[in-house]
Amino acid sequence: MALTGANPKGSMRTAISRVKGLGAAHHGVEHWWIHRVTAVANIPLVVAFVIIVVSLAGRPYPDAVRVLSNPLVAVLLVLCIFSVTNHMRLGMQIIIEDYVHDKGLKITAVIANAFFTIAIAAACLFAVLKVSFGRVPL
Amino acid sequence: MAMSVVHRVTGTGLYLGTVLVAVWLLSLASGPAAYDWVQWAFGSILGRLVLFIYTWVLMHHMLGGVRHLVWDFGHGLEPGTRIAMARFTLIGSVLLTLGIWVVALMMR
Repeated sequence: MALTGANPKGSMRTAISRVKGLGAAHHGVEHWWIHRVTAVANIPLVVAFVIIVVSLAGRPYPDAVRVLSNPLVAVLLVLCIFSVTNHMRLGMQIIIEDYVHDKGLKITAVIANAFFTIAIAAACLFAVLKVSFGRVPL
Repeated sequence: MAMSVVHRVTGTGLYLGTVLVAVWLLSLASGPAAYDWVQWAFGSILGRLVLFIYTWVLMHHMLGGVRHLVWDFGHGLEPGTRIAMARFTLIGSVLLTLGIWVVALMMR
C-alpha cells in the first residue's frame, strides 16, 4: 500500500502520528523492545548467577563473602539485578494489562508491580554492594 | 497455546521467587547468624524442594524465552517446528535442572 497523502485508504491516523510511530499508548515499542533486550541480557547474566549460587551451595559464611567481594562477581550480580528486575516489571505489566480489566484495579496493580520490582532491586543491590565493599563482619 | 500460558505462569513464579533471592542476599549482608539461618532453611528438605522447582521453572522460562526470541525473528512458526521447540523446552529444562543440581550437590 502506497503511503501517499495524510490518510492512506482505510486509516484514521494522521501523517504526524505515523511519523512519530508512538501508537495509542504514546510510548511506541519501548516496552516491547526493553522486554526483549533484557530477555537477551538475562541469558548470560542468569547463567552467571546460577554458577555463583551453585559454587556457594553449603559453603560457610566467610567463603560466600569472599566470592561476592570479587569485583567481577559483584558487577555481574549488579547487572543481573538490573536486567532481571526490569524484565519482570515489564512482563508482569503485560500479564496485568491482559487479565485485569477493571481500570482502577489495573492502575493499582501496575503501580504495585513497579513498587515490588523496584523494592526487590534496591534490596538486592544494597546487599551485594554492602558485602562487596567489605562492610560485613567475617 | 498451552506453552504460552506456561511461560506466563513460570514468569510469575520467578517474579515471586525473587523474594528468596533478596532474602539470601540480605542475609549475607546482615552477618553470619542470619546467613546460617537462611542456609539452614534453604538446605532443609522443603527448602531444597522449593529451590529445585525454582531451578526448573527458571530453566523452563529461559528456554521458553529463547523460543519467543526465535519467533520474534519470524522463524519456527510452522506447526512441526513449534511442537519440536516446545518438546526441546520441556526436555532441555529438565536436563539443565538435573545437571545444575548434580554439580551443586557434588561441590558440597
